[in-house]
This record gives sequence, structure tokens and C-alpha cells, in this order.
Amino acid sequence: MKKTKVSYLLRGTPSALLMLGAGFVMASSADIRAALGMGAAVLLALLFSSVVISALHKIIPAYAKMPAYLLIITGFVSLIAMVMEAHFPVVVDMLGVHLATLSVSAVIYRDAEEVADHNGEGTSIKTAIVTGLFFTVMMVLCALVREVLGNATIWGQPIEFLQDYKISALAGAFGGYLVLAIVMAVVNKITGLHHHLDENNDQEGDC
Amino acid sequence: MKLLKTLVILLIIIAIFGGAMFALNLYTGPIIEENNAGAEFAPLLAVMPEGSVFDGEALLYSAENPTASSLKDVPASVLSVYKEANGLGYAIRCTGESNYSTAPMEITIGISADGKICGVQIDAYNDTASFDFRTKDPGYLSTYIGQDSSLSGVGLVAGSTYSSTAFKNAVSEAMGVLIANDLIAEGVKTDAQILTEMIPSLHTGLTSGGFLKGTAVEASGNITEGYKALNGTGYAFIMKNGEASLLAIVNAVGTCKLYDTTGADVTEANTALVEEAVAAAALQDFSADAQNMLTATYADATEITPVTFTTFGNVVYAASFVTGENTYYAFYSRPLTYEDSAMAICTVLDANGAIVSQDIKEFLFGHGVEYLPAYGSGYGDTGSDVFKGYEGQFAGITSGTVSDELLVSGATVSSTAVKLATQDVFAAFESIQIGGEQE
Repeated sequence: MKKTKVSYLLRGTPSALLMLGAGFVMASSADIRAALGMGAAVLLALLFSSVVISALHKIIPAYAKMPAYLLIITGFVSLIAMVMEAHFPVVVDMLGVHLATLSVSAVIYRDAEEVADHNGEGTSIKTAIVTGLFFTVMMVLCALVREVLGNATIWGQPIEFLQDYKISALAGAFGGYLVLAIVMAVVNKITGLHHHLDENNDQEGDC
Repeated sequence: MKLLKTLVILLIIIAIFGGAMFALNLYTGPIIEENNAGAEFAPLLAVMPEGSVFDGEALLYSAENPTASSLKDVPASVLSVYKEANGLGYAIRCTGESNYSTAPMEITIGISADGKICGVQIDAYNDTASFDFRTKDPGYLSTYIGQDSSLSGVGLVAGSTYSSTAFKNAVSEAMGVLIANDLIAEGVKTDAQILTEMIPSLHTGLTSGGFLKGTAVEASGNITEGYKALNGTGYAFIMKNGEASLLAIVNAVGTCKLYDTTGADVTEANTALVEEAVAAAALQDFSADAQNMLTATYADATEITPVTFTTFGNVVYAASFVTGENTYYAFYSRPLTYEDSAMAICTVLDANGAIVSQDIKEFLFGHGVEYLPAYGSGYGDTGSDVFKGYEGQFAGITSGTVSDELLVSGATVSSTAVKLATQDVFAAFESIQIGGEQE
């Protein structure tokens, strides 16, 4: 399949390709509000931590990078959680412990280590925004399917004509993974990412 | 050196973020505290008049720390009591539990300062879903609005008697806390309410498990309200008598008694009302059913003669009959069991009042299958041993030897109904001996 600009951007999208953050998608995509809340938290945590890490990566010695980066990410996640708890308590209730565990998420740490640690602020910001946005889009897509078909609600409001037809399993953990897998398959089909991966693997095998 | 440098870097990061969190908390802390208070008070505001405010001083009682409260006589069903900041009233969070509760119902009640209910809300309903009184009667909760502690305008929901009683009792207990602590005035029960509450003790055929089991009948003449027994055992009427009200109870064979609000028997002094009550009672004729059940066991029964009894229980028909050279008495009773379905029991006593035989039929859940033989192995299958020989145990029992040994573990509701019906049979037999007359 022809590689597009979208497929290029999606290449680094954690949940679409690398299965990073799949647990967060499963846990936070039963409701669109929760999905947007988690998406925003991931985007902001990525953005702030990438900026700070890219600015400091030359100062922090190599042997101190991992704990330092974790502390920076944890600090930003905590600050974001405090603001969300003040202004979006309902969303924080929905996310529960998953918001706090964002501190140790590979989604954020991967960007910090692979991008911010080797590039300047501009590239880090751009990567953080793209990653965060596509992570949010994936979450919202999953949430849209799960909330409408699993709970027969939209934005927490009941959809009357669907009440008798809802598929409750979709609202649970099993449904979360199932919908994520379907969304991933659709994204990969549209963007040809699996071909991109296969080509890379073939090339690595040839070496 | 590396370790020291690492520690310094990490400490600097911690200090920076610690400071940032401290500063941010100055802004978010009060908002979060306000949100939490709002979440705690949200269910309370839903049952209180518009404009109600609950502040930090609102909590008068909490079951989590009862010793910190000055309120006395708080039952275990009450979880917390709150006072509205502007004196508009009180909000109480409490629980209610019935035989069908998997966990207690959680209820929030708003009570205005004048002692009237201004709102009720069920926060968690944990009774059997098919008995949910909100589904059976969607307007039921609204009947509580405006009621004082007497709850005189509130009834029970047919088909959800246990659950709606649990709810009503929870509301009553919650209001009792405010009354016991002089926070609101006690409501006064109406005569009709007092008389209705007397029915279960005076006409046991109209009750099951202590609950009134009747369908409402239309008011007419001096009858202001009335109930027809679900099992055909008679009627109860609230009747006007000038400014006062009386309770009239009618059994399955047309015997009537009148009581005033003190519980005194005033039948003799109100013969006109007695005649009106008997005329209003559209009694069912069980003679064919009873005689069919009797002749199934006593095929040679002759001289079957109906007799009148004056008791108000589950017996709906009585007759004397002759078999061989002996005279016996047959009693047909219909106690209520599961889902308010009526059993059919034919009890035969000898002239000395001892049981000769007892035939029991229970049709369960509308399956058209006899319950007792099928018990424990599914409807219509070969029965388990639980009730094997059960009916035979009654032979020889007299009014003085009815005991809890007749109850069957695992079939308590059914066997309790049979035991009560057996007691009613002996009471009816005694009434025949004392004052009954043969027709």
C-alpha cells in the first residue's frame, strides 16, 4: 500500500502500532469523556516532559537519566492530575488509578528516551503533539464504539432506542481489547503500516 | 562522585516539582475540597427544597462515629443526619432491608422543618429486580411527598409488599430520629390508618407474613375504603360511623365483625353497618372445589353439610360429612405462599377435634405443577424426599399439639403456611363447637 503522510505520522503512534498504552486505552475508553481526559493528560504530560527533557538532556549525566526522566514525568503527571481533579472531578473518578499510573507509562517514557533525549525542543514538541493527538484519537474512536454500543450512551446521556440492544461486554475489559484490536486493524489496513513493518523486518533479516 | 551527582540532580528535580505542587495546591486545594463537599451533599440537595445549602456544620450524626453526635435513639438503619444551613429542614441517609435484599437499600430522605417529607430518593436498590416497587408502581415514591411521620397517605405496592414495606419502615425510622430528638413534631395517624394497621391481627386470612394481602375495592355507601383478600378468605372495610371510622371484617362464609380504633368489638351496636359490609362482600363459593378435594380422599363420603364458622383465618369452607358410621368435619383452607399464590388444603377432623387426614396442594409460580411432590427436583419432575410422608405427619394432631416440628427446613414458607392453616382449622372447629350452627 502506498505510504501516505498519515501513515508516516501513525508510525510512531503507540497504541496503533506498538501496543504501548493498550492498557490505558482499555481502561479509559469505556466513556468518551474519560477517553478525552486521558488523551489530554497524555498529550500534556508528553509535551511538558519532552520540552524539559530535551532542554536538560545534555546536563543530566547518562547514568542518572532514567531516574531523572521518571521523576520529571511523574512530576508533570502529578501536576496535571491536580489540575484535572480540581476542574474535571468526574473524569478523574472515571480514570481512577490509571491517571496516576501514567507516570510510569511506556508511552511517555519512550518519547522521552527516544526523541527528547536526542533532539532539540522543536522536534520534541512536534513529536509529543503528534503522539499525544493520535493516542487521543485512538482512545476516542474506541470510546465512541464502546460507549455507544456497550453502554447505549453518548457523553453519559442514554440513547433510548439502543437501550435494548446494548452489548454490555464491550464496556468491560474484554470489550476494550476487542475494540482496540479492531480499530488497530482498520488503521493498519488504511495506512498500510503492517506492510511498512514487514518491509523493515525483511530488511533487518537481510542484514 | 557519580552517586553524589546523581543524588543532587534527583534532589533538585524533586525540590522543583515539590515546590510546583505546593504552589499549585494553593490554587487547586480549595477547589478540590469544594468539589468533594459538593459530591457528599449532592444526594441531599436532590431531596431538599430549591435553594437549600449544606455547609461544614451540616452533619448532625454519622453511623461511622456515633459518639460524636448529640442525637439519641438513632436506629442502625440510619447512616447519617444532616441539617440544612438556613433551617429549611433535614436530610437523612438510611437503609432498608427485606427478605429479598441481597444488600440493604440505600435511601436519602428530605424532611422540611415542619415535619413533612419534601423528597425521597433510592440511591441503591438491592432487592430482587422483579419485585422492584418503582417498576410495579412508578408513582409510589411521589406518594411520600408532603407526608408527615404518620405516613397516613402511603400504602404498600401489591406484588412488592416486602420491599415496599422495607422502604416505608426505613422512612418511618428515619423520621423517628428527628421526632425523638425534638427536631420535628410527630404526625398524627388518621383513623383509617389506625384501622388498616389492625387488619393483619384481626383477619389473618387477609395477611401473609404479617402483611396485608388484599386488592383495593371501590368506596360505596359508608365504605370509604376496603380490601378483598387475595386468597378469597374475605374482606376488610373501613366504614364511616358519623364522625368516627370503624373496621369491618368479613370472613369467607359471611361472618362479620366491627371494631373501633381502640380495637374494641362494636359489632352488636352497629347492625346496620354489619349488614352493609356483608352485602358489599362479594364472597367466592369454594364448595365445589372443597367437595372435589374431599371426595378424592373419601369417595364414600355422604351427608356433606356445610357449616358456618366465625373465625377470620385461612379457612374458606367447612362441612360435616359421614363415612362409614362416623361423622367428620372437613375444612378447606387457602393460605398464601410464594408470589401470593394460594395453597389448597383439605383437613379432616374427627368429632374430638383430632386430624384424621390432611391433603395439601400448592401450585407454584403459575407452572400448574404441584409444588410439594416436585420440591427439590424441578417443576414436574419426580419429587425429592423432603416432603415424603409430610401430609401423613398431621394425622392425630390436635389444637394443643401443633408445633414447629411441622416446619420443613428448606421449604419454610410453604410449611409455615400449612402450619398456620392448620391452626386456623382448629380455631374454626372450635367456633363450630361453641356457636356454629348447621345449615
